[in-house]
Amino acid sequence: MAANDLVIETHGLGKTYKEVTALKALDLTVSKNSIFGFLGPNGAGKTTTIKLLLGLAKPTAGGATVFGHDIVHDNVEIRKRVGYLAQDPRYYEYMTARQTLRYTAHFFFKGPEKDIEARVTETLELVGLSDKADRPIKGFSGGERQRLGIAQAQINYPDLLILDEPAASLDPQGRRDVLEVMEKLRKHTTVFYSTHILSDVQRVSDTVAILNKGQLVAQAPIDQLLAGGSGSTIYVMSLKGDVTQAQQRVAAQPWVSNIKVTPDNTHTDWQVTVTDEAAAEEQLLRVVLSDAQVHVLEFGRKKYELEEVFLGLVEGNDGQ
Amino acid sequence: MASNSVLQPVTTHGWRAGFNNLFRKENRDWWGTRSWLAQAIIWTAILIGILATVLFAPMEGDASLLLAGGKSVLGLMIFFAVAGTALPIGAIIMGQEEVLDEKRSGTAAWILSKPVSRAAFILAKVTANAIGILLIMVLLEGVLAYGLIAAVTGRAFPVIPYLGALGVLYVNVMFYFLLSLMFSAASNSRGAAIGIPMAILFGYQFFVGVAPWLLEVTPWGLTNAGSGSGLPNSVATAVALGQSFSGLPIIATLAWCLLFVVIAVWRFNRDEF
Repeated sequence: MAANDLVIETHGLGKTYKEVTALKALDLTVSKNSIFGFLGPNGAGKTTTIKLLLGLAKPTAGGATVFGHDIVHDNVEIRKRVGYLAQDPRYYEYMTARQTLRYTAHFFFKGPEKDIEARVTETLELVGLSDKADRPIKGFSGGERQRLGIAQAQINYPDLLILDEPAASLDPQGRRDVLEVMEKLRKHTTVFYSTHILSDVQRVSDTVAILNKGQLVAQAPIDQLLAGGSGSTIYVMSLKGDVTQAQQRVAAQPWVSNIKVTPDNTHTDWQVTVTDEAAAEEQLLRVVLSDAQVHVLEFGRKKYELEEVFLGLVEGNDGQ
Repeated sequence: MASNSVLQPVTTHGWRAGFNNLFRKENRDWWGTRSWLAQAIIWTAILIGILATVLFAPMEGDASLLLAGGKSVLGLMIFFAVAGTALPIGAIIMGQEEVLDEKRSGTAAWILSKPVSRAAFILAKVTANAIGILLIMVLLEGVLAYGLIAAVTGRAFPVIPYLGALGVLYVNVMFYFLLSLMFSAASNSRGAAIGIPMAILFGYQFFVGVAPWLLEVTPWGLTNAGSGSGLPNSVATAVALGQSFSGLPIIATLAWCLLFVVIAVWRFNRDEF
């Protein structure tokens, strides 16, 4: 991958608060135009990482660049190209949504005023706040505040949008709306967002990193992560007929480490764990079909749910 | 989605990044709301109210008053003495709110996630409040006091020295404002941001009693008459009356003000959000 395709690069990034290590030697790369899901349980170090990237906190170890700018010495330049939604965003309560966006826009643009106003109006429409644009924020609900948060993060059409738990405080409809906005924006920007909500990640992300206790435990494109689970490759087969001999034959292959058999009334399900993916792809089905008494109803590589992968990695990491 | 190309980007770098927008907002907080009117009413009621009470009180035959130069000089001394204590109290309350409230409410973290330098965040507050304090708390009240003294006593002081005296009063008020702002930037303690400046404001007689030379390097002699310095008038009154005075307390107070700003910026730069 070319260096200019990378938006975020961290090298051994670490942060210790007094004696508490919030982040340990994080090596992370985020490529351009991806929707990058940053997962982890509470206290995993997600918000700390985001604050370090924005220059709101200073690293105690390692370093990072965003758009090639150093996060410690050049963070104003970084923030010129970034939109950020905090986990618990706070604004001036006396300002209206329109005033808040206008104020935010003036950090990025000095004019012309009519074009800034047009941008503000367009952004209010994008997040569905047009009808509440001129009400003071102090009367806003949690969902409305979150929409305003996305709007103020988006007002400069950032090259990188950093969202810290953007859907955490929202009801299902609010979550759906936020995900829709994120999907709309992916054409124009890179989205780096932290979340607990795994189904959201599975729905919109193309790359995922999982953080636990301040350590990166996985980073991969989501398809790869869901295909590979927590490290082992498993093939699932649904078979009809007498499978006893076929099972012995498959188990004898050197690249098969385990077969989990689940009998059913009409068929038998296998989960075959393999150590050599290429060998399994080429030979597994042939080995089974060489037994004429067996009919293959279904065959494929096991697709994991993100929750399964997440728990496998996090709990595995906890046990170390 | 329209492109950014129709909009002119802000091009400021370094410490000035974000300053103009922050300064406009801080100014709007003074002049775009009723804040200026509230400040004007409060300070007029306190300062001009006390001055009027003194000026309208019967004082015939008071020898010390006659020696001091009459009601007009007494009014002048009273104004600078009261303003020199009351305005710093207001300035301390304003200063402690400026940064601390934003840190506590989370709005500072929000602002600092934009292309804003931390120095600009502090300096915008300093600059906008310096203007508000100058125009509403010092100049407006000074002009009203001048007019009242002239109307009641029939004596108008020379304008330029009087404005110079208001300048001395302004330096005194800014000392306390910036001291309080420095503590609000440097700590998360409202007690420190209010308590320490208040102790300095009201503890001057004790401190000067222990070390009289402190008068030369602090704002205490700027508006407090005598103050153990052996001079009959404060620096502000002396300037207004065209009397001789030591410029060292003014220079020292300005140096303190600069130091407070430098410390506030330095300390705020080290803060994490």
